[in-house]
Amino acid sequence: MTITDVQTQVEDIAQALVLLDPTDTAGVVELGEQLASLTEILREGGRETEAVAAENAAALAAGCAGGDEVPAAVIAALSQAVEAVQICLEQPDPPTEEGAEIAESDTVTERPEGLTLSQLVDEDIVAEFLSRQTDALGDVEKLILAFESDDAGESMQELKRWFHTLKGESGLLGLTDMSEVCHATEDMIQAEPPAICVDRLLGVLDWLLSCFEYLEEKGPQPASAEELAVVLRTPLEADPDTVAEADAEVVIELAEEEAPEADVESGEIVEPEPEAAPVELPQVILPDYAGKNLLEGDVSLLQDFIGESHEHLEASEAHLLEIESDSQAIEPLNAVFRGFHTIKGLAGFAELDHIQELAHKAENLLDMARKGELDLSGGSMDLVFESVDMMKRLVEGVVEALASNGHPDEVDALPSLVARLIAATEGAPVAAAPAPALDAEPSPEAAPAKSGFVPLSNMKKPAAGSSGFVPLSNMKKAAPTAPTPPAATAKPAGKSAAAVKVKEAVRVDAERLDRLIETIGEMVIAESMVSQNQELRDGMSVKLAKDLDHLDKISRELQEIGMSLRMVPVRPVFQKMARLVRDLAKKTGRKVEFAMAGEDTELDKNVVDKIGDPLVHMVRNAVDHGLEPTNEERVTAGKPEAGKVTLRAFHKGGNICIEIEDDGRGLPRDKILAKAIERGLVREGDNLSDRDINNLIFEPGFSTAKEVTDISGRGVGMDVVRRNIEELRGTCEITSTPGQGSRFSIKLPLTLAIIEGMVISCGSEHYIVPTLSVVRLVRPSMNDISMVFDRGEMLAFEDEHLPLFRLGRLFGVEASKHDVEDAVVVVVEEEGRKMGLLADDLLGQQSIVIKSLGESMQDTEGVAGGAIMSDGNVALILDVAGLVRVAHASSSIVEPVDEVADEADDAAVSEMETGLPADVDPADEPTD
Amino acid sequence: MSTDILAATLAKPGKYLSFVLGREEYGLEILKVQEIIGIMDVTRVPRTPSYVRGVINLRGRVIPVVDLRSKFQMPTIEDTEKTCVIVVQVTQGDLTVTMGVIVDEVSEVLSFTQEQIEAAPSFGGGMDEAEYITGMGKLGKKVVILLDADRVLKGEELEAVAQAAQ
Repeated sequence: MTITDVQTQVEDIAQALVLLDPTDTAGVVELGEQLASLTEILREGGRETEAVAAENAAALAAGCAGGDEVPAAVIAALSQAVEAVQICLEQPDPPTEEGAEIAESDTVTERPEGLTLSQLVDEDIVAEFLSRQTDALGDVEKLILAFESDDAGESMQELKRWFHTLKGESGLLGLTDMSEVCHATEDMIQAEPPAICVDRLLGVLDWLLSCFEYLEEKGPQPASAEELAVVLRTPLEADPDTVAEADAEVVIELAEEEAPEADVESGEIVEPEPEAAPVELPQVILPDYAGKNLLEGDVSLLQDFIGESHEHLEASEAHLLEIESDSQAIEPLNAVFRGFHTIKGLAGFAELDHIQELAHKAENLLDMARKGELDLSGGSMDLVFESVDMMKRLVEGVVEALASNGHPDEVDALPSLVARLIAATEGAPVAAAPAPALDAEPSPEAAPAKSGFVPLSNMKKPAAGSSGFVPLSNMKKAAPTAPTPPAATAKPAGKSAAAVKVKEAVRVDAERLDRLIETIGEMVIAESMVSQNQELRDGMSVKLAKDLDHLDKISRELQEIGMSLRMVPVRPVFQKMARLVRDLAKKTGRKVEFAMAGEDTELDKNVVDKIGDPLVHMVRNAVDHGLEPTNEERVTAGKPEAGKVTLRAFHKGGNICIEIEDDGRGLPRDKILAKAIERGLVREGDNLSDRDINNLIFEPGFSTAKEVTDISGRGVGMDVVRRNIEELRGTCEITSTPGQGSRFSIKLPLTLAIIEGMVISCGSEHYIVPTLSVVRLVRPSMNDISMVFDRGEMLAFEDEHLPLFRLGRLFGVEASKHDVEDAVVVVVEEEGRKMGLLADDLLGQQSIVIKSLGESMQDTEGVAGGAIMSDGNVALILDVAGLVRVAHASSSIVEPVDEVADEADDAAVSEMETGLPADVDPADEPTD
Repeated sequence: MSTDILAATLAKPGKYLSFVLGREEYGLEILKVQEIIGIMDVTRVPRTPSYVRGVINLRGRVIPVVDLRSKFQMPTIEDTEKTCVIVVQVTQGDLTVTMGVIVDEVSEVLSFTQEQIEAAPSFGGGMDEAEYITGMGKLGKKVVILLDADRVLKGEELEAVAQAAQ
């Protein structure tokens, strides 16, 4: 029998267990038989640990025979054991002791001492564990330090995950002391404002290190874990009564099969004594967060939920910001309340109990604010913001779960947030609200949320807590890993209710939309092919011409509609920036006024999605670098105390412009120049325009910041900005006035699918140059063109000299016009560098639907894609940046001279030949 | 290319689209063939290997076309009215890519049984193209050279295209 077969069998048992009726004792006995046979199979397969677990479970089940009802605790214990077997089977390497451990906690009496390794544990496993964890300590330390400077959730989550894992692993190895300390640490991380506990975390780390050393027999026995744990626990305001009560409940339920445990170490620490027994549970069922499989539910319902909740969350955030600026505003508060309420409802339909729970708690808080019982400001406001963030994360988790295995990740910060929400509502009359939430049938991943309404101190083992005392009726909902639909389709009523909801918009699969737009594009091409057909034109009647015109009009309209389908307002992105500015201002202690304009401007969905990142960097820069570092400095400079950052979007000449403006110090021209010289980007004495200097900040790794803060200063940001904007085929310009502020203007195409292009011909081929990169078209005279060393041609353009490349030569196409004076030069600009492209003729300008050349040709240098022309042929779209590289590759045959020197020579030569001043600007020359 | 590898990829019995290239007849697995179209104007793409004739517009899609003559290092000839583009779908890694191959003439669809397919003879060194051959189909006196479309249109060759382009 293969592992998969065994797994299937175990899964069957797990499933049966979930669906088990508590009155069906016969069913349990039957299960016991199945487990017994499983035990044998496992034994034969040499999987002793799993076999032991299964055997114990079988004995447990057999013990139920004859009774009227199966105690819920027995079922819980059984499912844990089965789950453990499942987990063990899934992780063949290293052969974990989990199964045996589980069984032990259920039936076996003996417990290992605090820092004595469990007898069951293989030496190799210990060695592996020690070396891995000792190595990890360094990283963890870094994390803790990062945590000190950055209380953003990321490092905290990582830290928490690490301690959680270590807790589980050490528990597994029988190192109860270590596991207890990790546990306490975990509690501390999630329950406390982070800044306070950094020292303690480091203390824990040191202790762990000494433990590892001790275990490796390299060091003395570490200090007692008890003291440490007590210290760790002190800030937690434990409510001993409730703890005792809740734990007692578990203990009573489990009492039948739990022999009194001699859990020496952990039991004594801070918990009231009944704690002892269940302490082991969290350690063994650690991978529990696998949760229920969302894919088994109604996926479309979940998708609706995701879409809608996103909208509500975005809107809520905007309203919250409004409230913050005007705390008397009632309408936005109501709107936020409604948003949370709706999410709560939707989450309920979608059976996302953890989200429902959070929404519910936040709603309670908002309700109080609405009724005037609570002033929504400061801490409580932050709490609401945090809830919005958490909600986003949870929704994100659902999205990810749907995309992967269907199991949402456990979000560690959730319980503490819920707890704090409750704490915030507590004391007020509404605080009674948590009660109904008990009906919210916690699924395993919702378990942490559930433990939110027991006092903090009891939250130490959220997962175990819930699986310990979840009533049996709820077990059906929970369906830990049951792969069957019955568990998931349990709520048909909920589904229909959601479907009935009237929507103003139709949600369409983006892929389908793309296909529609593509087909419209094809149709437009086909239409123009027909109407330009020569045969048709020769014998064209007035009627036909009219009809064709009509068709032309319709297809154009259709194309416009098609394009507009993809258009979405930039509002959501802008709103994120509003939030960012708020957070940054808080963090840096500055006063920042944030204004937005034109947030209804519509952009292609792809563009909106991709513009977020660069905007974040630019807004950060505006706040952190642009504005004066302190409010006082602003006042001294005669400006209002609050710095002003403005974000606006508007249409301009077929493009979209997004501007970020601040009224800060402006770009420090001298500093940038000095830095650039230091880094060898420019030379001293180079004649650089303000624009050139400003553009230097886009160089990778360029930063004038003396100090790298957690907000900015590493010099990565602006490089990212430039790259992202280029990807969107946009441009970015900086204008800056010292002392008065700076403005970043991003110019973007309306859509990514269509570009405006100039069609040029070269020999028999047609090429398209994106209009965005065309500076001017010139008909050159011989006087404008000068040769350099017989290999490079230069074009005098305005007061610059540009390198001139013959398109035909670059592409190996025979040009039809050999006389330069007959040809046209397209002056193109890329990254602020201009160059001339010599082509035969300009054929016109038109909108072009970009087509990929296919995977195999995607990377062809100098070609950005293809377009289907009105004659049905394909024309290539030129990629100007790539062309520059091609041109350089082909012209560098002669001699790879130092670039700047080369250019100086060029300039000298051109001066000699043309008598024109050699004012060639190195920055205007293409460089590799 | 060693015979081991050829043996491993010996052509499967089934239907093949046969086409003419020079004096010989070749076969492509029919399941790979999407359609056959007459030759049309091909847009040259610069900086690609010589056997890539360029790109064509296949009902709104831009697909690359490969000149099989030039790919197999046979002398190129002027297109005739019989010149065809066989549109094939080849797998490149995880992707299915649509490409065109230009051949002199498309003849017919032939069925080969296992017995009618023979392993390709070894041509010794110096003939890289032999690796594209999956077998020799025999029908009476006619011998059809069966090709592996995936290999002809993919493999290192097209990666080389991408690399050359960079």
